[in-house]
Amino acid sequence: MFKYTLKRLVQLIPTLFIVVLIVFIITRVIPGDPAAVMLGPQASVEDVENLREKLGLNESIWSQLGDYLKGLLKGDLGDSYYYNEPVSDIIAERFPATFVLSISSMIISLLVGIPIGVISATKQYSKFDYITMILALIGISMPVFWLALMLVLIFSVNLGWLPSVGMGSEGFVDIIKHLILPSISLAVISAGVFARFTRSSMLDIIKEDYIKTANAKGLKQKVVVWKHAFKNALPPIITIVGIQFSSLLSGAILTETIFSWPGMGKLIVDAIEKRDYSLVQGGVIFVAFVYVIINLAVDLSYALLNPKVRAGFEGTSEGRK
Amino acid sequence: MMSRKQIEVKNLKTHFNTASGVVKAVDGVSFSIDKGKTLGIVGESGSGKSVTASSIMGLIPSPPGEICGGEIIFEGKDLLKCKKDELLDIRGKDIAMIFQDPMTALNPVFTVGAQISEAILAHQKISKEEAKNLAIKALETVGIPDAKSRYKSYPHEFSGGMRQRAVIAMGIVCNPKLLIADEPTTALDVTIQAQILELMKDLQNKLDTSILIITHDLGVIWEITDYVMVMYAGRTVEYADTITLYDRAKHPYIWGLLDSVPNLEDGKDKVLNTIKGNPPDLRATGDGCNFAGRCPYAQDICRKKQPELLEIEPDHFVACHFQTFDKTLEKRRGE
Amino acid sequence: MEENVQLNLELMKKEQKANSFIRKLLRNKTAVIGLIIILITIICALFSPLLSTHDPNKVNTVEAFKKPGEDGHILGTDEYGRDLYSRIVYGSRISIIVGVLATSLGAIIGIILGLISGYKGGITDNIIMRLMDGMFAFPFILLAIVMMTVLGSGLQNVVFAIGIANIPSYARIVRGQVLVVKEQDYCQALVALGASKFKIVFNHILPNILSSIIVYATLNIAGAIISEAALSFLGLGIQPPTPSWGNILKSGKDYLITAPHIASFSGLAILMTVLGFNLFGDGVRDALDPKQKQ
Repeated sequence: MFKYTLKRLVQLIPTLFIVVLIVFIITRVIPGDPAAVMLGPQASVEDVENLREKLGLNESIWSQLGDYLKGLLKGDLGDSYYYNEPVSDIIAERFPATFVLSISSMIISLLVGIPIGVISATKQYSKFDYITMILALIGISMPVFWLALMLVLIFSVNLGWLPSVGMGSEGFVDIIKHLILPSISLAVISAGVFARFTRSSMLDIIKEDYIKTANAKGLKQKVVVWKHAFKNALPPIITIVGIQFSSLLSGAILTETIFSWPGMGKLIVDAIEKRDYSLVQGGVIFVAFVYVIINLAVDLSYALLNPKVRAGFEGTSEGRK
Repeated sequence: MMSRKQIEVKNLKTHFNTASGVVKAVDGVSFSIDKGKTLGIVGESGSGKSVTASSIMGLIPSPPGEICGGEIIFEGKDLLKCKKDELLDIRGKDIAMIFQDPMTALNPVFTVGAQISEAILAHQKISKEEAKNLAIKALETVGIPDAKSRYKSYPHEFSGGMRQRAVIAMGIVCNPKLLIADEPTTALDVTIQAQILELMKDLQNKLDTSILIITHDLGVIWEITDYVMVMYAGRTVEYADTITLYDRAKHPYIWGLLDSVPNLEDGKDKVLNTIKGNPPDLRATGDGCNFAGRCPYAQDICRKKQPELLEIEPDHFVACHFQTFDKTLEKRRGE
Repeated sequence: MEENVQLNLELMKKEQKANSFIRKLLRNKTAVIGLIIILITIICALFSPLLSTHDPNKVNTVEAFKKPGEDGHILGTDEYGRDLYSRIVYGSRISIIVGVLATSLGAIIGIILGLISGYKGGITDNIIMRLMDGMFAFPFILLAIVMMTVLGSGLQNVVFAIGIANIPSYARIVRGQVLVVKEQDYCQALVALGASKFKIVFNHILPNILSSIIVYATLNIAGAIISEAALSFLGLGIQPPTPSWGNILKSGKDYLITAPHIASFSGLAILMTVLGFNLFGDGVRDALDPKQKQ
């Protein structure tokens, strides 16, 4: 298991390098001069030139990349042009909010989506099955930003039950109150995905012979479904959870904009507008890294669950679809 | 006087409701198995043999299936009238079932030993340790060497024959009164087949278990069964003890089956005998004999009226309009 | 010679398959509903002028914020007094165009990359897949947002950004399927017969993986429609006054309290259309599944 983990970590490196490369190239191609934007329209050509020198913007892309990578290895992401603070500090400040939002949404959607999927599979063709699957389908067809607005409309504007702006600052309960609407908006879509996928994964497993055997042994239905069927249905579900995290992060960016939730999403979008290269780079790379690591964790848990995979898995990420 | 019958099935009917019609998978089947004896059910795919077995176990998925008629008398109870809890109790303990492909019959993410222990613990209130010991004993009984360490192995670490032995161990570990084996040797090599059948006979002697074996392989029937029931398109066409069947089978379908087995002594240019035609669509069985479409001796009455299963000599039943009263057909087979 | 016989058999099988596929599909009620929704959207897009009640761009500040049903405005008006219903009808054009074009762009490039990667293997495969992994590391929207900022707003760029962001998914799916098909006996037989690599890939491998691609593409169109709406919602996609469901939703957000109908109906339009594609895509997937009971 350890060797496998190490192997996967090493394989990460080229992927991460490409991430940095992509971000670097794209941000350098963004039209507009950050130095000019920073100094404002009143600045003289000289001042702008000086700033460009200072920020190293006149060097070749390759040397800029080289410097950046060197810094990256030290954990230094450069300074934000706009805020004049180290990017890493800013990210450290803003990331927890996005993290809290993503994790709560993920937890809600898992707790709702997976059991529904399992029950629907065991009660295939029943009313429960039809209704939940239609709801799930509608759930995944909704734009998250629309759902967020509708929830705000109903619960904040009309009913006044829940706040719709910011993260709350008066203690834990207040934060939870502010967390409810944004995380539910995100959770609905993920829950729909999980419910549908769990159902189809379970349906495939239920047809298997070893489920017939488990039933023939006289085991209770609950045991057959959760111990025998679900454990086998789990690996593909886990893969989907990993992939869904990416959608969750995408959704978080949009949701943060609506709720003024002080997280990474809003940070990056604003930074793009302000041509703050450093912050954009640092932010996007950070989000990408987080996602890659989450996926690695997902893959590793896949190996943990399946003894065959553990026993002698040779493959790289290319081995699977 | 105590009945020697372990299980008695009377007029069992199991239908499946599909989008394109009702499939009468089992349409009025009756048989019984004596204690310590082996009954074989023979038939081609779609004859209803597996559905019969699943009906006894109560494992018919519903929807779309439903058992809509008959009785299954086991230990004085009608299984079709039992409550869910009672069935759960019987399943795996009094009646055990093993399936065709041992690779897929075992859950790949649990050790073989754990799966056997699970079968024990589901029916007996004993400690995990005791269950483990019983499981290891069961593995030894079925001839798996080094049972203690094999307990911790996963299914994919066993060879095909060993796997089937392990599956059998799982089936017999609670000393069932009836063991149902659905094509237990079909997925195995010929040499391993013989071993497994030997093992089953052995276990039967030791444990006085009745066995219901389902197969399409006449060789298996000859090896291990005391009685045979031949099914075609959901109905019984003939029932007799094994030797009688080979010696004096009456139904043209069995003649076809017996004739289609290639004989080593035939020259290599001999064309293989086949039964012409295809099995009927079980959604549209008419009033006549289900085999009429393929029977070389079929006459008008065959297409109009379903033949009854009648006893033509002690313990030998046949469902055919001619074999019960008209002896002329028998002469024709010799030609 | 043998190759020709095999191709003829394949053609006959294909015709049979196509017919039973259509039959299975039409039997699925929800798939048919999805298809109807899609057709309605397409009709809206094609016949927008006929179906609208007003000029979608006609500004009339006196009429601003009319409620649904007032003064002949079926769904009310927006902040500039423009008829909401007509703008939504015209918005379907953007959605359909972006949906179809972005998906096609991503699909074509992704499929080609996947075919090459899967068939050639080795270093080519490695490089392409590493690149795809790198792209996959970005949450979709982020990638699209960054690209839009580079390219600027507008229909062309939206199609381009979403299309490019979709490439990795197709590449991965196709590559996975190619790997499976490559190992199958008939493929190895073709290689042994000396068939050219190009022919093998296009005439034999591609048709076999087509079904998963079609399913994915249908569902992808739904995703592309939402992505366009998201980009326009953030102000990066289609700029007003051109009506896009996304930018209408953007104004809807600004006036959520005073004129909730703007946000509600534009979002509803997105929901309905995406639902249609999802229903239809599900139906296509079920109809193509060989394991499905008829």
